[in-house]
Amino acid sequence: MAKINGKKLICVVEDDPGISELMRVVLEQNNYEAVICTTDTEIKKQLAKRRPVLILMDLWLQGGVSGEKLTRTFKKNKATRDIPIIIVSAQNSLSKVADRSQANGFLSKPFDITELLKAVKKHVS
Amino acid sequence: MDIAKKITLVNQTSLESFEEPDKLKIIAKFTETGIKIFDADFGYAFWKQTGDKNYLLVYTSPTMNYVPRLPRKRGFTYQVEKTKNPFMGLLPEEKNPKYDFSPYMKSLIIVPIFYQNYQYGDILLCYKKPRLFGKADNSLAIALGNAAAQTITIQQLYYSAQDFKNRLDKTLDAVLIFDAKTYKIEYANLGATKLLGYRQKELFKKTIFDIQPEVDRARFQELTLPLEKKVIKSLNFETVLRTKNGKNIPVELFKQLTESLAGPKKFLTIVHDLTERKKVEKEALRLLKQKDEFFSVASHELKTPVTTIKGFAQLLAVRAEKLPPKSLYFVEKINNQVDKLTRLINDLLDISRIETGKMKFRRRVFELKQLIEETAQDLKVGIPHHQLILKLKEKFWIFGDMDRIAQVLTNLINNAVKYSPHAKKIIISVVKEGKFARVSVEDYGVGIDKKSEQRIFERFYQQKKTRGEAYPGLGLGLYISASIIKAHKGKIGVKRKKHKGTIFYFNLPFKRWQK
Repeated sequence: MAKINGKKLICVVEDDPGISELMRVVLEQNNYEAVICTTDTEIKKQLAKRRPVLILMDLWLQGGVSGEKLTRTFKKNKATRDIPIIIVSAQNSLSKVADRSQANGFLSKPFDITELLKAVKKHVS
Repeated sequence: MDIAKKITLVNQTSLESFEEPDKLKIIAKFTETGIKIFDADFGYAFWKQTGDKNYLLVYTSPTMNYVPRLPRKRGFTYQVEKTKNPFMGLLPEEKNPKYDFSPYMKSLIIVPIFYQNYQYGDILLCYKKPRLFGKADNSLAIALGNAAAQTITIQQLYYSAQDFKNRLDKTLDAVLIFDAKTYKIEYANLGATKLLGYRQKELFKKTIFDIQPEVDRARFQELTLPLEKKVIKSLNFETVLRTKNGKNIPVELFKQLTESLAGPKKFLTIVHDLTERKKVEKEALRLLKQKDEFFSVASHELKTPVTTIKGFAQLLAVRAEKLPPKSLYFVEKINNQVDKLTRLINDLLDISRIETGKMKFRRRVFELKQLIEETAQDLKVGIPHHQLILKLKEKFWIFGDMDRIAQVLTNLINNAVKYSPHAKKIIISVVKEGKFARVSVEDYGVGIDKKSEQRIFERFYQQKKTRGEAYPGLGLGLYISASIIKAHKGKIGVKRKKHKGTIFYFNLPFKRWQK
């Protein structure tokens, strides 16, 4: 389901256009398909439309609903809880947030591209 | 007038005089009484002012319209001063006509007014005609002198106590005195009544526990035990006092247990109202929190563009082969600088966290030797001009935050690099030292001066630049490192080397050790 044209879909929930652009380029170069969502509504719509193999989740999002809350919601929901979520943020003490929200991993900004790809590969088999 | 009446008159005089604050007037009053009971014609009261050699003179004379002026030096009074006993009899003969009072008086009584060894003054009672005196007269004169001395003394004590009380009453800091057994409040000054909203009389019906809700009898006895046992002289602690309208006021109490000859032990309590201080502290805390929040947001916002720059620089590096020569070198420069920028942002955030006590640690057991090796490995890439020599033989299992300890080590190694621009070698070692693992980072660089050795772990401190060399940084790294090591119950320090360079070290308590 996640594969169209043989490419796996990764959702990037990120409201900074610079970073989302960077992630999209990196992911596409490595043969993933990337879709950018900037708000909670967009990601929910996307999930209904097409299920990604991974979500890269920023914490501070436009519109007030935090990435932590979104992660928690997805992890509680039967339909979405199997999608791996990696929290990607510049906020401190990310490990705690990841533990709290039951995310599958975390990545601190600024990150190294190789770290990003390593994390992605780890969760996308 | 019979002797009983005369005694009554003396006693009455001492009572009447009590209200009179002026010592001179007390003596005058007794002189008047003396003239009455001894049936004298006129009298003098002499007053020796403390610290002043001059005699003051007061006279009373109910029957005479003329009283001779006495000169200052009168031989016969010296005798009285010596013996402390009254003199009564005929006026002694005087050869010097200047001092001869025989035209005015034939007999006299001199009543000295002594209290312990101090002579307040004396009373002279004079007769125009010669007169004989009996034993009763002598006793009466002694009684008169004693009564006057006592009256003055009591009056002096009373007024100094009154004066003290007046001053205490008016002090703005609240003062309470309460019985050490019954805990009943026995004294409350104006400051106390103002602070608590009670009248003095209302407070006197209360015990200390009625106004001190946080400290009950048992706790109070526990707190004041060292005072009772005289281990300490005064005790202070912070608590709250409850006012009449039920409000709790934050206060600091200073307590002393006072003993006196006159009565039971009492607690003297001075109350400092901390309302204002607490307000200021609360505001300072709010500002600190606000600052911390600002730092959090600011660092987040700074890191966002940094992420983009770093990422695109890396993307560029991947394609460097297709770009003009040297491009890779430039991109690497960008990358390094971005990493440095990230460290600075993190340092600033750490500082804010340390100040608000919000620095959090994720503690678990890790092995130190491995952590040092990994950290050194990570750092090697960024320091191509230096050689990291690891002298690690023993393994130590530490309970702590691995990332934070790695941060300390990174900081020490980066400092060693920074301060040894002309020396290559940096030695990192770990050894067992009692219950601690001691990690040292030794360099052969510019070294550290004695002044810096004392202050190097202070916030913002940086060693003064010598020989025009400039070392970058905010002077935060060692301060943060020290805070991290302190939170791990360890110790951080620096040793100056005799020749070249410095050794920075930190100790961490270990759980397990293996050779």
